[in-house]
Amino acid sequence: MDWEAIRLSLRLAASSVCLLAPLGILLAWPLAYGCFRGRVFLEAVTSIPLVLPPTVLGFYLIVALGPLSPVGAAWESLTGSRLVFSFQGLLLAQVVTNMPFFLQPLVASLGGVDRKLLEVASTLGSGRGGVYFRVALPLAWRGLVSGLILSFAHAIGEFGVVLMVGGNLPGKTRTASIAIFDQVQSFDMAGANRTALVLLGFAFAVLAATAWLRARERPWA
Amino acid sequence: MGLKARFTKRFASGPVIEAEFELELGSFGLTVLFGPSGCGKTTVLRCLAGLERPDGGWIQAGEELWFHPGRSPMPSARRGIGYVFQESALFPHLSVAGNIAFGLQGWPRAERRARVAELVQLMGLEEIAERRALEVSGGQKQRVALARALAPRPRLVLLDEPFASLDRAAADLLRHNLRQILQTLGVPAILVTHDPQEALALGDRMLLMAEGRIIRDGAPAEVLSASGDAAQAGIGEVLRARVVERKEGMLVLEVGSVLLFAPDPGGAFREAYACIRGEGVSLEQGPHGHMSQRNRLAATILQIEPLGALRRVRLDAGMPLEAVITTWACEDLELAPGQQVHVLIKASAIQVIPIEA
Repeated sequence: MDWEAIRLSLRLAASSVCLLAPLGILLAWPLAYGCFRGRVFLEAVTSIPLVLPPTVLGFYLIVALGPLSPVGAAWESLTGSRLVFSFQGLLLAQVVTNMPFFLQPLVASLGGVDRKLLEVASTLGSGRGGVYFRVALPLAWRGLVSGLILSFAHAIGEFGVVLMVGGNLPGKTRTASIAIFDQVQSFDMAGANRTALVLLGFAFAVLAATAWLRARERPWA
Repeated sequence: MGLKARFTKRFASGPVIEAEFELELGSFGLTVLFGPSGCGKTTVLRCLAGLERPDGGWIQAGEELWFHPGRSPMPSARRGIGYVFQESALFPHLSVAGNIAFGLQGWPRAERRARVAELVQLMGLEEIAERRALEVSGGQKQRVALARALAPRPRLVLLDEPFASLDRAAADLLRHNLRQILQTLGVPAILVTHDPQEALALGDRMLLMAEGRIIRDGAPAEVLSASGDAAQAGIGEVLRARVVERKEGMLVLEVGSVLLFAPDPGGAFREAYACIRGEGVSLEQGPHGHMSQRNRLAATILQIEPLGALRRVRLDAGMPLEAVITTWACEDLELAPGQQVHVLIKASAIQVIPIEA
């Protein structure tokens, strides 16, 4: 059993959700309530990782984070190390890849909040931020929780983008899904089976937890 | 300081809404925005609140421009208004007290608590203050919504048919308190309604709307009495009638089993609707039998209901009839259901709408 890879997967997924959630909460607001010209563009950009092949996404991320890119160059001059094939580079790639899994349920939930409640809040002196954080977001809690769970689960299982951007460096970028691929490639079927079982159990637990949350009585959402 | 508004709003369907009026702010006064459903009352209210953007014109409160073409409209949050929706629209994730305190963000904690306590007491919400907003009854919800709107000391309260979603008992109770509460707090208010009795019982002033425009402005009784407008607003008990006789500008109508005298609007119709306003029907006790007087009928009281400061008496006078009288008159005459009385219908209170053949 490759515990190192499983631990790395969990750490990577947890860190990427911690980065992705605040950013996603800010992005969800214009996506759910915004009336501006670029909205369609923003919607398309934030959903693109859903339909793009992971290799294509991974390729563009290597280009965007590589040592010749502004981001990669800036990172290298700051830290002295490269962004691609590092944990940090993988983290950024995971944030981009998993954003739609966080945004979609949240935006749908926000869209379901009774508009009157938002209007009442604005007549009671709340600016846009107040309306969003004091009324819309608490009422869309189900979408928020679903988004957190889904993006976390997807980050654990991501393979293509991770392989493209991170490669296969034990302890740094070799996640559980990469480890399984590796084990199968080297005909270690028993090892692959054990790691795969852990991921299967995890996926089942996540889905059960989501279903349980949804079934819980919260009459306002 | 006053509110001056003159604006238009167009929707893809329905009439163009044109509103022009002034309103005194700073002291209590209840203005009723009255008219049939779909005539644009709520749109006017929403434009004032900043929830809808007019297509043209301007809205000004004192020196502040709330809306002016070429400038971005002042956001609702800064207009200093309170808004009560038809359905209470309470925040379901907060308690009753949390709802009332919602608009008091930025107040010092002690003041905020004191203000919430004051409103809880004023609205009689002591027993439910800590409950979740979803757990309280319809009538209480609307009280909480009113308390929430009043808490931040608004300059103007906008009430969009606040009784419409309540059952009659809850509506009457709240209606009974509303004027008193607003008067206590010294807040001017605009009340949207299509119920003429409600308008009469509560309003100091009435803006009558029809097909998107404010067509009359004055004391509620005067506005409603002006016959043409009353017809547009569809007021009173509406009864099918047959013309029996015409003489000297008057009609004799057969309504149910009785004959009524009413002014003749002109024309050669034989069938008509007789609209009888409850305010034009008076009641008296007296000896039965002598019925020589016109529009004086024997009737039985079916039901007496409170209607704000007034009473609505439902009668069977050979036809269904309603009288709206003061509470004092009701007490002086010792009226009770089942009692035999005489009703006197003012001929001028009967509006005749011809049915085209």
